[in-house]
Amino acid sequence: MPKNLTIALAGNPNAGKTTLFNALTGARQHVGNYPGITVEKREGVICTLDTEVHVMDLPGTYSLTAYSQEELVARNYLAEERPEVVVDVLDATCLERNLYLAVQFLEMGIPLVLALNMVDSLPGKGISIDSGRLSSLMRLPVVETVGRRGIGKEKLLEAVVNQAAERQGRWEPLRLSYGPDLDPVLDQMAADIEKADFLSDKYAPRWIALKYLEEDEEIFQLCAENPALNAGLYKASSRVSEHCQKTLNMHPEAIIADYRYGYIASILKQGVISTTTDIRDRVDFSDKLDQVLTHRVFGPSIMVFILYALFHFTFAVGEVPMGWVESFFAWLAGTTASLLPDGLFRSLIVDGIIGGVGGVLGFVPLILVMFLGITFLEDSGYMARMAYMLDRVFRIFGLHGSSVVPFIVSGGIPGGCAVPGVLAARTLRSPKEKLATLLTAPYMACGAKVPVFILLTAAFFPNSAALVMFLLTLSAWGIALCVAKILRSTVIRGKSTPFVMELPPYRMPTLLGVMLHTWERGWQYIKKAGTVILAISILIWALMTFPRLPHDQVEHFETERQELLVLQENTTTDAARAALADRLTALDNREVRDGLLHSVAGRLGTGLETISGLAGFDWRTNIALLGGVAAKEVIVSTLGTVYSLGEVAAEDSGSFSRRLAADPAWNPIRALSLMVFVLTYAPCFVTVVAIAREASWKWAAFSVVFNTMVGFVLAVAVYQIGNLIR
Amino acid sequence: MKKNCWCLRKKLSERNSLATMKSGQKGKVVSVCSRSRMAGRLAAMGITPGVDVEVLSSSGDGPLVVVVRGARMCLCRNMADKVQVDPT
Repeated sequence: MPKNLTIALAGNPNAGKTTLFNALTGARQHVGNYPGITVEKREGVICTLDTEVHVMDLPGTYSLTAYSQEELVARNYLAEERPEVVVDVLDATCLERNLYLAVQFLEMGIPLVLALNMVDSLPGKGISIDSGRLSSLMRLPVVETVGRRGIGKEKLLEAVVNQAAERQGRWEPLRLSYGPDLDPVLDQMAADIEKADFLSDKYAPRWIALKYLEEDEEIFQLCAENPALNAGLYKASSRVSEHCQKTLNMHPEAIIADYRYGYIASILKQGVISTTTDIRDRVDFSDKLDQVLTHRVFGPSIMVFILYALFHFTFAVGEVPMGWVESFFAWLAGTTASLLPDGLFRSLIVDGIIGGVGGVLGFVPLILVMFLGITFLEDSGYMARMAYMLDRVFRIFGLHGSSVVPFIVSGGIPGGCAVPGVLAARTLRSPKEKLATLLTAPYMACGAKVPVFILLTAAFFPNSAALVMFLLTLSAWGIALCVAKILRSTVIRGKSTPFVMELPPYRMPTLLGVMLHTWERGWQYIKKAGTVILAISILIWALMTFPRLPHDQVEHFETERQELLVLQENTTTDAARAALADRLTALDNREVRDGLLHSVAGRLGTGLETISGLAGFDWRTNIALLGGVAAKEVIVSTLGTVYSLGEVAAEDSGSFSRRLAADPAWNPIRALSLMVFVLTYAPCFVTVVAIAREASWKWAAFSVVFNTMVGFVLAVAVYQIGNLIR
Repeated sequence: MKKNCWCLRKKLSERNSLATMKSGQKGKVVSVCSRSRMAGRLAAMGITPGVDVEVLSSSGDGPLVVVVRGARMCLCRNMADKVQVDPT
């Protein structure tokens, strides 16, 4: 029996794969991303008495043909890492379709165990499945499981260990017949591939031939590297394709699918599946819910209500712990300031690092609560309905139902991030819609912009924070859609491409799943604060500190201060002493202000003031906005630093938003203009890189310039019109 | 590769595409007349010739929801246009 075992969980999306994975591994798991892409890489460990099982949760796929990133990731993992066993998680209520993927695993030859998941939903649907019969007909171990309650996991593990021991890593490709039209061609192509010894370390020759007929993009690319082989394969495949279309009116792909489903049907018909009642007459619970939730009139209203409720929930629940974290960092800054001697080092630690990173970490509780809500919507199946309902609207603006996902991930529901959002746009097959989505997704209220909104709404719209946030989110969607429409009817014109997706049945998310998922996302945010934001905070602190005031000016302040101190010692009345203390404070503030103005950042900020003044931004805001191009989180932290540099002692200053509200230079209109600008201006640096990778550097540069222009025009409009109305 | 679909019965079957079916109507898929990759994707999601479909919702020019092989699929009208159906 092997001591160390590597297995992979695979299956259709929504087959309960991740739930089963959670049940198997508990909290002993690690989530990361595959290098360069956003497909989640989820790994975990199960320890039994004598075996340590490493489990890999592969992304959900419908097939093993490279239609999307997920399929490619799953396939390449299997081919390159060669796990000892693959557990194919099947949704028992939808067995026929789920077995389609299983057949492809068998054709690949990989050792397989079937987990017949969600068997508890079968009686309600009037279906019964004989798993023993399925097992003997397919000559595979089949284990009944209920992922959400952890039922069957021991048996599954036992089956996996046995299968691994029996197969010893041997791959045994299943040979399906694809009929008189395709079989000879497949044999010939396979023979050619075998002769060329092409990819023989990864795939069986017949499997490559099949994928070639299925027009698999990656296989095409790989074959193109071997021109001699490719010429023969291309000739054979195009001849058979033409022949099939002429005689059968079908593409080879459809024929292949037909034979696979034929094989599945031949197994299921032999007493594996039986329906006890006529399921066609039953109205499914999910369908009943859908009649209301996706109703033409009620559906959209309920959707808006749910989003609004999500904000209220987030703010009501998140506010309290947010206060705790804020006061913790205020205490930390105060304590550190009193422990360290005055000077550059103290300024770096207190103003640069604690101010910068603390400002970002302060939002962790709020973001966790928001993720909790979003994860719930995702896992319950409602998110797919949102995409379905919004497709109608999106089409008008030259986008796609699938553009909803990049939009939502980017922050369509505040709290996302444009980087995975931009990368999620990969699933869009049409280059034009994809480009329009890439360029407009960064308008969404991502998790890094949210703190700016929270800060400003708390300061200037304290009684209607949720409403303002809600309206900002709607504006983000409105702006993104309008810009998409403009782009799609000017620089990126073109017809729309088709889309298809599954609407999973409604399910109650499991507590463990929601918690784990929420924590993963929150942890990613915290990690970012500890790395990227920390580095940028230090850089910006340096920009705001150097070059320092020339020596004679510092001396000038110092002599003035000494004079005041001497005067203070010689006065007798309390009133005069208080007046002198005020003058001292004013002097200190003036020194800090002059120092900041003298620094690189100050000069940049002041230089831009002539233009930015149109939108109501002063030089301090400009500094923060410039920093925000690096990462949006930096806006709040920089504002915090810029203003805290002006404070004499960090500990007796009230919360930052209260200070802003008290600042006479600020008013609600200026705050509104700033929020609109932050919402729409240049994407952050990481997003720009992602856009460049997905489209080109030309489009990435376009997004920076174009988005900033859009943002500036809107902000000026808000500020100028707002002041006129006032 | 082969970008254009070549459908011999296009004229005849266009009238019976999935897109023309009303909510609640049932039928059997006759052929999927689409670019090869799309047809493959649809097949992987269960929409192949010979399969029973039921339209759950279809209105205006928005996407359709159909039940195929026990799963609810949402597909856009352009795509539904390419799926020929024999209504029952």
